[in-house]
Amino acid sequence: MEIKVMKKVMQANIEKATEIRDLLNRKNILMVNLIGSPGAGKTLLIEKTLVRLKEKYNIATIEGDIASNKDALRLQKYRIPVVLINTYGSCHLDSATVEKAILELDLDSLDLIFVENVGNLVCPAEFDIGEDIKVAVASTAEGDDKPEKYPLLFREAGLVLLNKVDLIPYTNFDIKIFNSSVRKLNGLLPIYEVSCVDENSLEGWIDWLEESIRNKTGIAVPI
Amino acid sequence: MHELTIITNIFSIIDEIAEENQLTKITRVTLKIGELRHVYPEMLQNAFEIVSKDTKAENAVLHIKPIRVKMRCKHCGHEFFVNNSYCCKKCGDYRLKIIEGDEIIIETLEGDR
Ligand SMILES: Nc1nc2c(ncn2[C@@H]2O[C@H](COP(=O)(O)OP(=O)(O)OP(=O)(O)O)[C@@H](O)[C@H]2O)c(=O)[nH]1
Ligand SMILES: [Mg+2]
Ligand SMILES: [Zn+2]
Repeated sequence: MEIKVMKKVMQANIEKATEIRDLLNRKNILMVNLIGSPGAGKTLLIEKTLVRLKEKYNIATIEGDIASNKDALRLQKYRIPVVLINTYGSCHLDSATVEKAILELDLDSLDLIFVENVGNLVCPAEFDIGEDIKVAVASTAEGDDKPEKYPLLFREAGLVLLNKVDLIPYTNFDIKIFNSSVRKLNGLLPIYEVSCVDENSLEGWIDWLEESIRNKTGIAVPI
Repeated sequence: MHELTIITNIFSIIDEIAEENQLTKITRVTLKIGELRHVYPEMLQNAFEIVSKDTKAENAVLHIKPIRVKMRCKHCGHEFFVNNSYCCKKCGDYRLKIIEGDEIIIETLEGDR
């Protein structure tokens, strides 16, 4: 016999993600999911951002790592809550694991949660974890063809951080090709060109983030 | 390797449906997979074979139907298949809504009581 099923396979993940989103909306917490290749600079970008914003806002991070606690240790230096999720081989975080990590945090005293997803351009983009926004972290050392090769991430993302622009002179990275292939996939996606070795380059990203935190939390604009 | 996660999820749905319909054997599973999902059919087939061992679905055929990415323009309403540009083919607007091509759906299940 043939049975019509018509069931979404990832429904369980979507439902859990929706619960997380509702919870964080009630608590007025912004959650940013950083996705990029291994070594693109996700951890260092979080570190640079913490230096700028940790006195102003209450920030926690959730670190997705296949096995080690190296990144979590790097972030603990900033004296903020850090929850490590070891995925033991799994190449992405899913909503059930993220929920467990979130429940370890004191949600009444937070404005922003950074999630550093497992270094990977494909799988993390597949899984909604209840975030407000997915940030695609690309770096100039990886080549300018990544958007074309990994379209889903650039469709799902709400913002692109193109990191390591300081290295452009030493690579064959063509920023025009990168930008135009992002445009093809997602014409309205903002791209911020940043470098972790140049504080000034981070301004646009920091401004964007502060505005998003304020929109979500209702914190008044400091004069 | 989200293929393994997908297959694990598929099996929990299959089990449920088989239970509801009192199937003792599953012979065929048809999946619709949107091209946006980056699923490699071969890896999915392999994962299916591994996970189905010693279950009701052992030796079942996994049939995968690829679904092309189709968008609707929010500005002019035009519907089109995406080749490589996510831009309205009629009016050039970027504000699009996905109609299909991002799904992973179990369409049908075949089996014996
Ligand atoms: N020159 C340069 N190096 C950078 C920049 N950003 C990060 N790096 C370096 O790139 C390397 C990788 O940075 P990480 O922050 O560990 O990258 P990641 O994305 O967190 O990597 P995984 O967690 O392993 O996926 C480190 O050696 C950083 O110091 C940058 O803007 N310019
Ligand atoms: Mg890292
Ligand atoms: Zn149009």
